[in-house]
Amino acid sequence: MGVGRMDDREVAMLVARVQEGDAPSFQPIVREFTPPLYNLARKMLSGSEDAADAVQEAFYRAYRDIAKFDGRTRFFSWLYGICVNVCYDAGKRRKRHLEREAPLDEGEAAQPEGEENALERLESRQVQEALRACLRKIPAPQRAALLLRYQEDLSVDEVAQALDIGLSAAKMRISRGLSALQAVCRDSGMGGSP
Amino acid sequence: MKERVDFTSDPSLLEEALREMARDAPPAGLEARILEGIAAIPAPRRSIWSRFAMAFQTPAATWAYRLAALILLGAILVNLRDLVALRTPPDVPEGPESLASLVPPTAATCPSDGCGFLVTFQFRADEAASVSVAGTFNDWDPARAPMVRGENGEWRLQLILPPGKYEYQYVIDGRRFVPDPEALERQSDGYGGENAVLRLKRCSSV
Repeated sequence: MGVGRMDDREVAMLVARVQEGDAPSFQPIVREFTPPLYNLARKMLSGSEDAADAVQEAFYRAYRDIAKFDGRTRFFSWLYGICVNVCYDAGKRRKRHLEREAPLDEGEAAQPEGEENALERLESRQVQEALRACLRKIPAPQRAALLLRYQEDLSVDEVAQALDIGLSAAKMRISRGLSALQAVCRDSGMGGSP
Repeated sequence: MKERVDFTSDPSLLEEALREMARDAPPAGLEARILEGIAAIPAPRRSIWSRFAMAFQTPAATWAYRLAALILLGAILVNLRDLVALRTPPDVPEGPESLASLVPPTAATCPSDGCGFLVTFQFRADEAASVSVAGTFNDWDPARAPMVRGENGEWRLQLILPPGKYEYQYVIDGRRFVPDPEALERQSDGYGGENAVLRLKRCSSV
């Protein structure tokens, strides 16, 4: 997992406490998982406010349904799965109103530019922005699989658990996602020599 | 990603680019907003049933629980079988029924005194030096029911037996047990063989 200060045992202990009705034990869980969930949602959805809302909704659902978490999968896989589903729903809602929406909020991931290597940073940022744009053009299930696998550094097995699909289906989805992303990048002119 | 890369020629570059994409940090105050919202939701709590079900899913305990559950299930099934056996109606139902149709050719006639049936055991064994009947009515002791040889190797014996269900076999030359080949009913003797079954039903008038 890309981000994480707590190990699995600590998380499992906190989850067990929340399941027993100890609500304050959910606070460290929120602090631990808000950054990775936001990163995922931000790349799944086009707007930062949408992403924040999705993370909030994901935590609400997780808290409400935490009694159903049976410990057979790792907690973060389960949580990512909820977040992905919330993002699917939000993406569908947004798609219905796409024409009336404001231009995509692309500026949030901006990084401070130093005086040195400014041009390099600018180029790097341009590539990243282009990649983000391409990523948003592939189907949401494939996008989710790629983000979980490469951004959140989940194993293929954990991706399968998070997306509630079989191992083969997860492999297939990642592979097809890469192919789709490659095609979109090619169409966007990202391929080719410098 | 310091320079433009050709994502279309090498998929591994694309994977690397995805890994290296800058992570988006959550806006300030998001955690507080989430926690505030959660405080308004009633604390979740597992139901007793849910806890019970979860206990079976704990990886460490899974096999132990499954084994215990299987043993418990087996015990319940055995007890159920015993219960059913206890509740099964007795083997000798009441009512006037034809005995002749139940046990040919070993024939039984309904006694006039109502105390017992005159049962005739018949068995053909040309080469036998002796034939007896052993069954539940004589504690499986062939010596207590020797048959008498008749014509054409037909062995015969008449006994008076009270109503009931009996299991029996013919014993040839004192050592070879053979269930009545013409019995209407047989059942396992519990040792891989079979016993002939004779049912003598109570008759109200003869």
